[in-house]
Amino acid sequence: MNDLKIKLNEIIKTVDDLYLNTSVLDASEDMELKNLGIDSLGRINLFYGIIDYFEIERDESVASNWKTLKDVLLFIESL
Amino acid sequence: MKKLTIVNPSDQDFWKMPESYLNMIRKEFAHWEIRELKKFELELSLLKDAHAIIGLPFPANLIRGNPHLEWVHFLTAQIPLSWQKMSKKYIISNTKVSRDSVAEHALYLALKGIRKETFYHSRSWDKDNFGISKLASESTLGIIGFGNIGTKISELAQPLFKEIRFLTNRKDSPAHATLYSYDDKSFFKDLDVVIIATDHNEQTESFFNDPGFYQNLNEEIIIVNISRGELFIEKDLISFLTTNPKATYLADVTSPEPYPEDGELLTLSNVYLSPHVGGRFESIWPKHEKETLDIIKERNV
Repeated sequence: MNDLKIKLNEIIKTVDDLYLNTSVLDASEDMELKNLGIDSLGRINLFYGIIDYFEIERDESVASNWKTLKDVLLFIESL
Repeated sequence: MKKLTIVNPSDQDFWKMPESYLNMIRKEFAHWEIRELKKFELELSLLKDAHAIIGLPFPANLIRGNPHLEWVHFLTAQIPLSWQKMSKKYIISNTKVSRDSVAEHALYLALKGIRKETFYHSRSWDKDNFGISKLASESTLGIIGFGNIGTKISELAQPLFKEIRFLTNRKDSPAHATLYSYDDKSFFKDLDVVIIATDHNEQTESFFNDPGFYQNLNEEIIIVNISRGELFIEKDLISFLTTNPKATYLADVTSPEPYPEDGELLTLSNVYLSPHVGGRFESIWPKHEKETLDIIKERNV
């Protein structure tokens, strides 16, 4: 999961208007996204950051199920 | 029929659009279908088929897949970074509404810094804990950013300060201030107070993110930030404030907001943070109503 965190950290740097409380590199996988500073808007913003990074198409409704950092990391792993 | 989405999701009463504002929109757009978005997580679809959007700002990614959107009107002076990369004809904002209030708050923070109020407990006597003030009339004020707010700050500060400087890309200097370009280091020479009143964009972000920025500052500098917390890399700012304990940082903006109670900036005695109140003032909604209406008439939408 550490490699995925590094990848996610890289992606986050490319997303405008997404500001976290804590670096994902320092956060535990079970940390809730809201505690990272990612609210419902941030989830959608991050979702598009990820799919732009990988240049793929997915439905944004996927992001509505993300609760923890691990959910995001598993999404990246699935791509 | 064209669709207009009003983005009105705030959970704070102050930021909720009052009925008078909503009625003005309903009246001006009587021939449009008007919808109100109150919760992003439940009503994102209202952004996907809108021809126009009025309201509080949100990241541009949220309108992905909307083929109809003609314009967006934000009720803030600053346009989010993600929107700055889009066509300018697309985006409108109420740039003047909060100008006076934010400028007055900036001046309040600057004077609080000059009075060294951050160094003592405001309600208690402590003979070892009083700062020694400088006089504004013997101090040089630098303002980074020469837009609506920067200009207003300079007008308010002009009778108080010995000298006023602007750091800006503009060339049209007002009579009471001197202009310096971003690469002119002499802007910082003998500077006592610097107020950051610039937009958050790629140029300003790289300017403040550059560690060289701190090398320009004197050890007793008073830094006032009313722009965006994201302009600074917090660890670099904290390192400067720790190694220069006579310097002061007073800000109305942080990253993130709200700033965490255990955030490191709050552990420093030379830091004062106000909770982003610069734009809160009594007559804000009548002013939004007037400026929005003026823009609607001007654009003839």
